Amino acid sequence: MTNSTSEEDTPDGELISLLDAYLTAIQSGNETEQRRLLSQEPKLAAWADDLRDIDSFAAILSDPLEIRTQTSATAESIRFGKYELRGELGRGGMGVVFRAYHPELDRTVALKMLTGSAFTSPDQRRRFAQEARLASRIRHPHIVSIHDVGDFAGQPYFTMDIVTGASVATQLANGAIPIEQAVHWMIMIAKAVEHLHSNGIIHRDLKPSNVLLDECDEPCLVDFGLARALDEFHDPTVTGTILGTPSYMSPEQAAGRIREVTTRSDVYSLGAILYEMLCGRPPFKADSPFDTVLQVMEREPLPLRHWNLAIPKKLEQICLRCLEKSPDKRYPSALELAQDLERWVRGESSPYESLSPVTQFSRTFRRYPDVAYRLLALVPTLLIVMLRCLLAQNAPAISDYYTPIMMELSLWIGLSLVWEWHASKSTGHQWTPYAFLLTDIIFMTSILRARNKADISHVTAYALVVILSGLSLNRSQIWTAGLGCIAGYLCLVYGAKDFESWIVPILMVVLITCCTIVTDYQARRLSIWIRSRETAERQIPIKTQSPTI
Amino acid sequence: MNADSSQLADWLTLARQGDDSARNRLFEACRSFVALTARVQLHRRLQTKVDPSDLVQQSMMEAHHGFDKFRGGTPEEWLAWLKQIVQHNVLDADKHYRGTERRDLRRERPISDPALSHADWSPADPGPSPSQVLSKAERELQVAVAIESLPDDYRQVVLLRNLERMSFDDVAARMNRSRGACQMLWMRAVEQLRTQLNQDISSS
Repeated sequence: MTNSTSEEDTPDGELISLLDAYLTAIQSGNETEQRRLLSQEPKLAAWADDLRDIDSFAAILSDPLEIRTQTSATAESIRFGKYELRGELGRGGMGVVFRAYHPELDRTVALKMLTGSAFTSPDQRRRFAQEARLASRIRHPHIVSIHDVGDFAGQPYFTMDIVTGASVATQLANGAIPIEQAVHWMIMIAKAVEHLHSNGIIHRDLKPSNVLLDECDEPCLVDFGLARALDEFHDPTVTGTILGTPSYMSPEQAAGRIREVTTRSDVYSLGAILYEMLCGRPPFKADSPFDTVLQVMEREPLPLRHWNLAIPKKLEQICLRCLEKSPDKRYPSALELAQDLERWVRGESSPYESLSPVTQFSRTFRRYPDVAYRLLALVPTLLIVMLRCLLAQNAPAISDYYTPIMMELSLWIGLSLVWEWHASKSTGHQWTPYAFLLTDIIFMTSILRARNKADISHVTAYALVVILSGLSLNRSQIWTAGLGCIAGYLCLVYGAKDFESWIVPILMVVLITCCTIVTDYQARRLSIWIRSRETAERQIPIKTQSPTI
Repeated sequence: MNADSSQLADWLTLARQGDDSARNRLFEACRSFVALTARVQLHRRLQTKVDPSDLVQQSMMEAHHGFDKFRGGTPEEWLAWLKQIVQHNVLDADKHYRGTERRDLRRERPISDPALSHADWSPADPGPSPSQVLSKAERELQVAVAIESLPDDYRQVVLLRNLERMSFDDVAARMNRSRGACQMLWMRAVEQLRTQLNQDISSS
């Protein structure tokens, strides 16, 4: 840019460069430079105070600590009650963790400050302190010790040991963990959780980022018990709001049935962690927390061997037993889980019987609901048609009539299986729901057309397809279904040989359109409600534990 | 200056005792502060879809409704509290407009999340006397009023250069003007700010 030189020739240009240099000096906290510029150009003095005031405004608008670290050349640590805060270790849903130094004890600890809307009334703070005191009695090699619980300037906090080392979540960022290592860790974690349970504490927030790894690469639990304090703090009118990531939550927690949360909920979370350590991904993970909650409650986790065939069947069963929807079917305690894992390591057989074929079948059904419901409808239909054909072997007309239908049904079933297979193989399967929908509409139209059935009683099936597509809550899927159905129906009408009047097709198109609009409207309303719930819940964690600064 | 600053403290005290007119004056005095905070926070999150004035409205209403929950005493704590409310609302609006993008696990970085921020318990000055604290809060309000009352392009350049601490090259790129033009604009803006701030002082 050439005009900067031309400006510097003018008095204005010179002043601008000086002001700019001076502001830069203020912003970088360089006081020597500020003094030098002031002595060089006394005119600056008139501006200096205002520039500094504006800048201090910049500082209060941002995070005070952020500014500190930016201008840390001379920055002393920040006093916080008895402690000096010496930098941030990480942030999570419940608060911020600082490296804190206690000058009298000459000791450095991790200080967690609880923030957010959850701790506003004195009563809530008192209950938090109660929970934290209970937690501070715990001493266990694989549990981070809590030292001090307090309240400074209305800011509840507690201090704990600093664990140097990454969390399991950081390890998982690089993919799955070797099987033996994962099992070894899980045995230790489960025993630590058992220790918590025997002291009357339910962790409630077990997840990979809450399992830190110490110098010896051994797991260490953090953040236990406090989630309970938070749960209870929640306004009863919003019970059911989700705290934290639902991927590791038991169905009873995810559904917000706080009273049903027991030690077995922690067993579930242990299973979810084991699952992720072995497979590299949690058992349930969808695009939004709400969808994840739905999966946690309604779906069966994919078998571990789906992700990694190297995982032994027995180990898979141990993990899936933790992930049972019904708490009664899980391991009765974390210790039982640890013992069963140890038995597996030693190659001994488990006292827990394996699943009956009926249960296994219903599991598979819940694992692949999209294809399962289609099979449930199509396979019996196909069988009936086949039976009809067999019974009428002497009448070639009937068999000619049914053969194409049978073929179409088989193709329909086949394609559904292909789509489901594709959906389960790839992670980005956005198009498979559309493939399912279009397959349904095309085959339905084709079969109805072969039978020359354009009358109302048969074509209401189109409306049903639209309504079912509404279960996805996905507006573009609903409209795909709606428009696809109208197109399918028009094909049907066009090919129909005999119909009395145009009134029926017009009514039918109006019916399908109305169905689409209403379904879409419902989906939109529900999505708005869900989103408002998700944003109202400010506690969705963005947890990272960066152990060193 | 002192008379003026104690006025803010007085309003705060009276408002907490239930004086409605003091409360209204207190809120009126802080409107620009709230507006500027919202503006800077939105800017920082690159959130252009949200109108700052909506957030101001919402934050002021929340502050009104939740006034009883304010537990601090000093004007400085009061401003920090207001700031916290604005930050919550900015975060909500941001989440809302970003949709599911924010859930991406790869984005789980320790961003400086304003929702987790807290009362401004670490003033840069290690031990300000009470009167200094008061005048600081008062000064902040003045600066906010002055910046908010600037014409749009002046305010934009001050926001980028002074508050966001961007270099003029970046400012020029952002404002889609030449570097020289931005510098001239900036100097005029700062000059106007200075005039206004000094007027305020002499008038008070």
